[in-house]
Amino acid sequence: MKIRQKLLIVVLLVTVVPVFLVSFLSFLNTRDLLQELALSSLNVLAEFKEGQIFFYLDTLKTRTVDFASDGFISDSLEKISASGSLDTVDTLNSHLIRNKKILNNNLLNIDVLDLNGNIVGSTSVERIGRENLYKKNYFEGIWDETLVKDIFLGEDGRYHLEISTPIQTRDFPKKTIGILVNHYDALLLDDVLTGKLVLELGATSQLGGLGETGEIYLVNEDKFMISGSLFVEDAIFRQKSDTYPVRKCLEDGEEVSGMWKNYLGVEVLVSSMCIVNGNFKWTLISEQSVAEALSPINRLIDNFLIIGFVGTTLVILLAFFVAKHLSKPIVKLTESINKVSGGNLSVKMEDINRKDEIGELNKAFSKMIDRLQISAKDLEKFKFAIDNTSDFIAITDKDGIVLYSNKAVESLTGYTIKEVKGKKIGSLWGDLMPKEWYKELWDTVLINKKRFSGDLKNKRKDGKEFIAGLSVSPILDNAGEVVFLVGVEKDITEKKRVAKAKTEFVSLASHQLRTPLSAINWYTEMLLGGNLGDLTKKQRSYLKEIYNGSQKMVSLVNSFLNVSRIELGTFMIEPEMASISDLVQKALKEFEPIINEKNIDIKYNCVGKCPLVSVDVNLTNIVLQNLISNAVKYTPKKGKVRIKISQKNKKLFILVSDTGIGIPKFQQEKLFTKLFRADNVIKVNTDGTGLGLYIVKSIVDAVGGKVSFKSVEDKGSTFTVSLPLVWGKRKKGTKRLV
Amino acid sequence: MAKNKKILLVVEDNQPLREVIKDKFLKEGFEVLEASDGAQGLNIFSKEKPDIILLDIIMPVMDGITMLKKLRRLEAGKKVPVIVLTNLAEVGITAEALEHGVHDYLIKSDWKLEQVVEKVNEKLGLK
Repeated sequence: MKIRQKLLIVVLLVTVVPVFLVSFLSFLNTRDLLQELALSSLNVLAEFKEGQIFFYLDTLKTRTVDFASDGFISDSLEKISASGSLDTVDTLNSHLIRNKKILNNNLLNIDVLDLNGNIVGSTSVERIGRENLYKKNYFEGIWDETLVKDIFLGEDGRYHLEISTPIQTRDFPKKTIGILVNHYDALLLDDVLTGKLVLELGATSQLGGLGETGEIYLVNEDKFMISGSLFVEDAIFRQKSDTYPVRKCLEDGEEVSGMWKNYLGVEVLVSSMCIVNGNFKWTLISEQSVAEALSPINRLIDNFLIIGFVGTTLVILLAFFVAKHLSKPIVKLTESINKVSGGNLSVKMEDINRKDEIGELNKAFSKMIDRLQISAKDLEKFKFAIDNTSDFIAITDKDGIVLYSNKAVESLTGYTIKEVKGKKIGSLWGDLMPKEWYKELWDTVLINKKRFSGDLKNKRKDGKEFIAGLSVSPILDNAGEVVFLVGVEKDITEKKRVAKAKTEFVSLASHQLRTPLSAINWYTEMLLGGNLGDLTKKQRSYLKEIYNGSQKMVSLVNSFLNVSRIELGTFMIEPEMASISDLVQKALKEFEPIINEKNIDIKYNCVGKCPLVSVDVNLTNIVLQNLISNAVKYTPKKGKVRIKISQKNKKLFILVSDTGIGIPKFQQEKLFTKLFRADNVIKVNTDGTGLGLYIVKSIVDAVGGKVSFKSVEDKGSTFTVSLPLVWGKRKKGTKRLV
Repeated sequence: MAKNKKILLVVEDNQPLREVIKDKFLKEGFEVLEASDGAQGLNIFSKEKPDIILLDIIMPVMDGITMLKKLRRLEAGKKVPVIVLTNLAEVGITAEALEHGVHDYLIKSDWKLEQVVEKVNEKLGLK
């Protein structure tokens, strides 16, 4: 996720969430408060209306009682009861009609009942002679009370509220002689509830606060509305209101306050009052729809939403700008870095002039690119050099799969870099050597983790075979595991051919040179041996010279042969167990004639026990021969030669000292160079070759030894050769030095 | 000297060398057979059954190594001592010769005839 997004989310979490939480909590609070307020005002209203209803009913009762105490009515009733005179009935009716008008517009009917419950006088003449439906109520023990009857629908189609009171005689003791029943229009109650009548009665104001959905109504025992509804026409006795507050009132006489559904199924806040009379149970309901009661909260929500939206927008914008400010340089930096990692090192860094961490990062990255550019240039040069070097160089993984190959692969094998890459090295041109050869290669580099060198035969793409000199090095990681292999291969076919030709030439030349020398040697040997008759002293002496000359030629040929083999690197080293003492003795034996002739005092000894060694006998012999030969040759008659053998630290030391002519100091450093002969030596002996010490040094170097000397002119020389006691692995050359 | 003269076969293409070798060994009481190449050498060997062979390497017609190989394939030639006497000092050839059971490998120019006789006697168990 990008910084901008993260920052946005964080800022939103930090700011918007608490705002919404607070809003939500205050919303809940406010709602409860509003509800409580609404309920309490509904309750107040309900109680107030209940009081008005009682007051109104009491007013009606008082009026009825006043009217019943009219002496004319009681007189008329007494007369009618005594005589049943029709005239009197008419008079009473007229009196009633007259008074009805005076009393109240809302008075529907006035009936006068005798003690049997029969109507004897009425404002509606047609009713006379009937039984009053409710006479039972009036006469069963409730004689003396003024009663209010439950509302009912009269024959005239109007709603009647009956109020009855006893009619008594004028004289004491008073005696009830009948009942006066006033029929009031029940719709008057509606006016009380709506407040209309209150105004008529002289109240100063209407109690409002019910809004548009609030209403107050009465429900009778049958759960029918007995006052009008704001929402349903002709609700009285038709609209049922079977709601919780109504049931609660009817069943338990309990007045409730809370939130329920009303008769229309609308969620309302309700406060109920139970109005109980001996004849009826009414429930007064004061209600208002929740939606309206709580409508202030909608405004609150709207406000919250507006504030929330504006706030959130501001916060997002702020966060956006902060994030942009933070992330813009990072984005730029990333673009630059991407370019760099895409290989474009010439990227110019944007100048982000900032003093914060991002500025520092930019600076550091700039520096890094500079460094990279420098090292990339170095690397480029290096790669150019490797790409174009004449030897085939390849880098492979540890399975030998080619990861890199330089151009020389084409000139060497005929395959292109493309053909070679990704394939196992050598799979295209190799596999001409015995399996063991390849096994040794892989074992050496992968198991022993050492460099492998060897020559192998390969086949070019065009089918031509060639000899390659191969060297494979394992590249190890810090844990010592093989990561890569680096192989270097070059065509040595020509080199090999030349070497072979040279070797053959040398072999043949030496063979050709030796054959006539052998003839000279053997024929003079035969002559000197007296096989062909006695020789004169002179003849013998001449023949000896011929023989010696030939011997010198032989040794010269041998030296040349050895030098050429040393220089071709084709001499072989074959260590075998030997006694160094035997080797020295054998070498000395060859010089017996000259030693005796010059009467040289020669001794050899071993310091401690003469060691057994594992050396190439032939090569050791050449070394000993040359050292002893020089010592004997350049030591004057009766001189001394000492040979000392010792060992120390797995090394064999051969010390050959003489009392000879020595080596001039100024020529000492050239001593081991090929064909070098010291000035003083040339004067004494003209037939040296200048090859002996060169051969010695070449052999000693090849087996990992050292040769050194100390010499004082005219005093003598001491040569010290140190050789390993045990020579390492045999070196497979092709020629034996002779 | 034993009554039964030992028979030496010299296989050598160089006539002067062959001659001086023959003279020397005749002097030493050997019966000497001569061959100037490998093929002749094999031929003579089959007929005369010499006791020991001095064998040169570089020869026309059939070289010494080839003759040696063929000789060793013959029933009679399996055990006869062969001393290589050559001027060719080539390790490969030395090794090949030794593989086919030569008893010594001598460089002519490094050895006196006297010493060659000693080697022959040594191989024949005469010394």
